[in-house]
Amino acid sequence: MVNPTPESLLNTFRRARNKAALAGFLALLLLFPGCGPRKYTYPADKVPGSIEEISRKDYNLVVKARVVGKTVGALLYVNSILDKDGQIPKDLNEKMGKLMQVVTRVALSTDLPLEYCLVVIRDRVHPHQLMITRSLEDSKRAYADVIGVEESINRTLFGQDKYELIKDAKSTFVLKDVRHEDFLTDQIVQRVRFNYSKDAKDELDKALLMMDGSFDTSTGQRVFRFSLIALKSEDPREMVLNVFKTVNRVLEGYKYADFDAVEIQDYLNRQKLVVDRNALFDYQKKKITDQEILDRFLTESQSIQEAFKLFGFSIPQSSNDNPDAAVAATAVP
Amino acid sequence: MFWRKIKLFWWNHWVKIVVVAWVIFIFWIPIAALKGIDNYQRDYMIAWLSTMGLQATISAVIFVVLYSWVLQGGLQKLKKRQIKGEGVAIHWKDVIGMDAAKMEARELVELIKDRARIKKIGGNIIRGMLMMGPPGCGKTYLAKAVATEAEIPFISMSGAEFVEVFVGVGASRVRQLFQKARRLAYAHGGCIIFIDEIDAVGRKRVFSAFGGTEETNSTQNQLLAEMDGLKDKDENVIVIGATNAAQDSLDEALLRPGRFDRKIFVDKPDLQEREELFRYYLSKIKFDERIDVARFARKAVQKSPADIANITKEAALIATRGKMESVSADHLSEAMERIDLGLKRNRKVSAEEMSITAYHETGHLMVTYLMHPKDDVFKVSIIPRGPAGGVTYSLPQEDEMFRNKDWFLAEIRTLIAGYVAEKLKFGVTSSGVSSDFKHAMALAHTMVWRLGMGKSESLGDYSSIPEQQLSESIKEKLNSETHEIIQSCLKSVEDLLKKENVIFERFAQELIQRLELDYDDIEAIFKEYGKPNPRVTSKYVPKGEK
Repeated sequence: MVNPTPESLLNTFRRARNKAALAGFLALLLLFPGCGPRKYTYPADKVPGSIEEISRKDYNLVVKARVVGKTVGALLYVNSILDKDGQIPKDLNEKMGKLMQVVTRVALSTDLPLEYCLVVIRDRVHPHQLMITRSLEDSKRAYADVIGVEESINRTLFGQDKYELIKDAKSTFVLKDVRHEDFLTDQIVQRVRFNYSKDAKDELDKALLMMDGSFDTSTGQRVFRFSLIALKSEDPREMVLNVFKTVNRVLEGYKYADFDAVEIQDYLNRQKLVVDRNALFDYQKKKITDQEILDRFLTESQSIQEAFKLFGFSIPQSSNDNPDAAVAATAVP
Repeated sequence: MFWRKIKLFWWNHWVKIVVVAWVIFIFWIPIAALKGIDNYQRDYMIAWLSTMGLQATISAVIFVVLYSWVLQGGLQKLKKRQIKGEGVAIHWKDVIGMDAAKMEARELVELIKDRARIKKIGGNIIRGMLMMGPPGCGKTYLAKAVATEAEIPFISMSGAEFVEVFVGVGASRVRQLFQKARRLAYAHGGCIIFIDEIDAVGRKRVFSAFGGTEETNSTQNQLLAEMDGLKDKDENVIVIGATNAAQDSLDEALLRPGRFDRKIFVDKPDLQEREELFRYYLSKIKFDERIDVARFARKAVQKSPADIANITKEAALIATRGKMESVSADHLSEAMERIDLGLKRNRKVSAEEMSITAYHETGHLMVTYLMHPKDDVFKVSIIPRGPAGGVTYSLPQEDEMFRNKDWFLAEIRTLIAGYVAEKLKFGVTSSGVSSDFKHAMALAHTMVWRLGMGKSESLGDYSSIPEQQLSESIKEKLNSETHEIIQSCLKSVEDLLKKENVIFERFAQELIQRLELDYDDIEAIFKEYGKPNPRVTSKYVPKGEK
């Protein structure tokens, strides 16, 4: 007669310890794909080539790609970046979006320590180019829905520039490594301009704000400097405060702390707001109110004549104007 | 047989297999597909999957804990009760005595193992075996031996496990049990179901208008159908039942051939079996080789194997408390007394009470020794034990199946001897006679009303007839005969105690001085007065005469 407890598969599975072993084996089976050395889809030496290949295969775009430092960029030539109405055509917008998608996709899946993606669209006929700069971290956040669509757009830099057009030959694609501080500064300026133009009633009003910014280390201190002339603003103090809030929002959003002060100069109204880092952090922690910021850190600044000089204009100086001891700074146009 | 086992495995586990395969499929296939996408997205999705898996696991654990907590374990599925024979390890040689029952069990096991032979002749396999008998006689022990020797799956259940508050649950459990047994029989060639305390579900069915017995009836009906119902397949499933209840308390449908074909009565061991049991249980502990096992077997009349096991355990405890290396005869004696008579109480007894008790117990002692045809007195004591102030410890010489009139009369005389002793000595009696009277009356009543032992020898069991159906004259006659028996016994005891007053006084004084007298002391004193033991036994020889 057969032994009632044979060493069979039936008894193997019955024993509790083998059940635990089976569960562990299944877990390993499921986790196996995650084990082993990490494999990157786009190795470092294949990044530019991959961008060019994917753009050609998936979107039929002939691009040139480069990697410099922490920045990866792609260049696309088009026949015209503006249509007959002076607007960017819809299909070009789509191409820019797709190209940015390709660059981001490759940048995320490589072992290179990349931080910025840049897309440059050049007009073949006219020496104009459009530039879109995006932080790779922002792309990850957007992908994981940490930031919304609007914020994602706010964090993308849109710029335009001229380039050296060489007839019948392709101009060189010189890619500059994006510095994080410059990225933040340009973003702040863009946000302020966008916010002002949103509130502006017509096209004329939109043009009445001039703002520029830079990250200055020439004095030994690391300072975010912003210069603005708002030809039409109802409350100058409120204007400066709004700009300060935008600066704070961006620095807080990126958790950036490697600076010493933030300086906002309103040349038209001769006021300047200089807030040091600690005061900014206290403001972020709501230890300082808006009113306190204005009361404690808003001072008089240099005259409008000096401001216009900076912007390339000259206005006769009035005897009532007192040049203040503001630090001379170069606003980068 | 191998494919049958595979089939059985599939029957038992197909749900788990399908679930596991499905889990593997829904996880592995997408993960394998992820290999085709960029590593960032792949890592992101895997991390997302793991997080979802973790969330699902936490939710499941919380659900299971809450579910178990809320239900408090009620309406549980039938627990797995399959016993592995080698785990029990009780063989035929370990079953002492009960030769007839053992033989039946052996035959059953052989028939199970070799059913092909029976089929050739055209016979049918035994469907069930019922073991009946007093508690502690080895029914469950024999079942364990069957489990070990049968080498086929053995499922053990208690009858009470089938019974639930909710109607239908018991029947469902019976179905589950038999379904499991059939599957095991299919895979292994046979299966035994052992139901202990089967009277919990096997009692005579009662059909009550109020429906209070629905659950028990439905469970029993299911059991009857499973054992021998319409779906009678050629399966080698045998049911062994065990019960302490009398056979006539069980349902007739359960006892008929085709269900419990064999009925075995497992009785208390006889003298020889008791001796073997004592040797067996003593062999499990350290004991003095000089112990006279036969003597203790003689003393352990009417004791079950469980009682004997208990005696040896108790003796071991007594030896341990006394910091002894092994169990001696004294330890065994003390253990037997402790179990039979109870623990001594440290109650302060006044001289008067002591005297009353001494004379009372002396009365019992005298009558038992000089008049009882079967019993010997092993100990008399006036130390309070339990509710009693004193005790006369007597045991029959040998096992008896039947008792005659002489025995009944001797018992009645022994019981009323305490009363007579008190009356002769003190002129008044105490409340200590109440228990004795109760038993004496019961015996006298049984003699006359049930056993036809009265003076007129009125035959029949009058106690089985409802009292209102008996005429007053018959009742009066029977009661009168009962009373007459008591009175005649009273007279004979009085005569004896008056006649043997010297011995009577001697024993009483000895008891007052020494508090306890054992068998040897009693024999010695009687012999002093020329009264040897009227019951001569061949096996037992007093210590002093060796």
